[in-house]
Amino acid sequence: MTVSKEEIARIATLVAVSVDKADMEQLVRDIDSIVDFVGQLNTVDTDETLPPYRPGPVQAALRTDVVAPIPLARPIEEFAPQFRHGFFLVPRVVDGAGGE
Amino acid sequence: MDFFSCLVLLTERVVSDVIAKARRVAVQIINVEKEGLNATIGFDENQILLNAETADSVEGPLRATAIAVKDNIATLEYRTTCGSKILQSYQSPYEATVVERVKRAGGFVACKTNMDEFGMGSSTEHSAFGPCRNPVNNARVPGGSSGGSAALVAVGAVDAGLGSETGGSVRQPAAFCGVVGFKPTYGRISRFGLVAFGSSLDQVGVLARSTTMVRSLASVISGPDVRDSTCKKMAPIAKTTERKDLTGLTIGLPTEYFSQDIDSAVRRACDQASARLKDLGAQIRDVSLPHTEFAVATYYVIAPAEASANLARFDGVRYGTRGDARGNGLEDMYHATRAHGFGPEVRRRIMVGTYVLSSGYYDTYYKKAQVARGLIARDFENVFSSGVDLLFTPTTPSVAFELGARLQNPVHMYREDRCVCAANLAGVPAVSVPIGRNDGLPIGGQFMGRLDADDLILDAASLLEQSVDGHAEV
Repeated sequence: MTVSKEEIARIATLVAVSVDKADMEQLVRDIDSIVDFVGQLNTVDTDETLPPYRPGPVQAALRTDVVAPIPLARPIEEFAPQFRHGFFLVPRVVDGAGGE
Repeated sequence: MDFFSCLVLLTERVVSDVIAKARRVAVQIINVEKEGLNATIGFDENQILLNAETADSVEGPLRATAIAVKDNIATLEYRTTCGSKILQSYQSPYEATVVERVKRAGGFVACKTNMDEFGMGSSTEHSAFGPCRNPVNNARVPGGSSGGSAALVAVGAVDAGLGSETGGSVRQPAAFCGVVGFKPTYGRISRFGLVAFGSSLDQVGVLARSTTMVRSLASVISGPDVRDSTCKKMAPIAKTTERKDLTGLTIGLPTEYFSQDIDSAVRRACDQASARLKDLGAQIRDVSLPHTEFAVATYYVIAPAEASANLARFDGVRYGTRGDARGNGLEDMYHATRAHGFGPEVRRRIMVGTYVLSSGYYDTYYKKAQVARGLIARDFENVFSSGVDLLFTPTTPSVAFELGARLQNPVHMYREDRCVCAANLAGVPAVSVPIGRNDGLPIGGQFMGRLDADDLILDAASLLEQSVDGHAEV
């Protein structure tokens, strides 16, 4: 196995996705098979010194620096489940405190 | 009743071409969905008529044209779910440039179509709204991730479909369903309003039953857009062509795309199509794209890496239905939202993407993939600078596979993309056209061209389409 259960648990924390214990074994197997598969890239000749390839325009197009109306079809307060006094309400950041 | 009253009554019963079309489309969609196709995510009979009423006042090249829109392209009429539970109630406050341009040209949105969640899949089985089926054979997949658009176009319910590609997600379902699927050069069609998956790869694409309709739609939606900084300042794709044959053009057949693991019927169909290309005046030459073997592995490092960043915004605060954290604070809310909202394939790819970008693995995987991507792009440059104008290959290694056949092993599903994903990595244009059938199942042939040669590959596709019977058994 290239990938361990501990590594998957660490990655799950990094990406903020909780994994049920029952699903962990299968997830480790799946990710291990994917990582093994992409491991074939180690046979690519990396002596080549190519700059990273990016398709598209060489230079990203810039808009004119002029304030334009935001093309929204609905009022901003309809975007979030909770909106009060001009602010979006989100859960309280301090752990364990609950509330908004 | 006098003559005048009869005339009024008759006039009231006569509706415009647009409304009549919308009614027919609505009935067809209802019928195919009743039969279990599951090609739509957003569809409402009244909404399609409202859309048609608005379109009725517009005279343009797409007048009375019904368009199915993949559900990762923002629309005002329908929710934009990306085939995901996390966005099941998301209503975009703006619409995509491509949708705006369709409407401005007189077309109307018929429905939103089923897709693999966030575009991650090759079968439209990874949808939170259930798998879509192949209209040619209900036991088979329609391909993916734009499977819903391909299926609806194939049954004739709509005139054309908008899809999106990160690694072949328009061309592969087009091949499986027997329709034309076009991916433009990276930057030719605006992505404003397309929900991002892999930003260096994503493109909006077009599906239709003929290259003529593909061109009609592509010519309307392509061209510069100040709201997408990756959009090229180039003229739109041409609507028509004057080209009568392929005289003076050299078409390369890359040997790597005709390897042993290509199904014999697919190979036969390609051989027959190559003969027709020769009849049309093209010179046919074997060529090599030596780094093709690394395309799938390269794609499955770069796309998940970019996805892991792009999908960070679905956290229950910025976007996404908020999960229940039982009052345990922000971190727990993020975890609950994402664990509950994302399906297994999206979770896997986000984790693989984070893994290949993490300390200790970046050089081993991501950096290698970047080098491989450069080599793959250089293969295309080399072959096109050697006098070759176009490449012709199979679109898929086999015909549509059975539902469930590739779900057990993610890598088996990934390998389905081996004929299509190199074009996304290099950013070159590509189009799939039907070139025959095997036991009734469609086979697609693919043209790829140099950067910005979108018109040329569509010319070739159009001429091939006219000289092969896409419905004939091979």
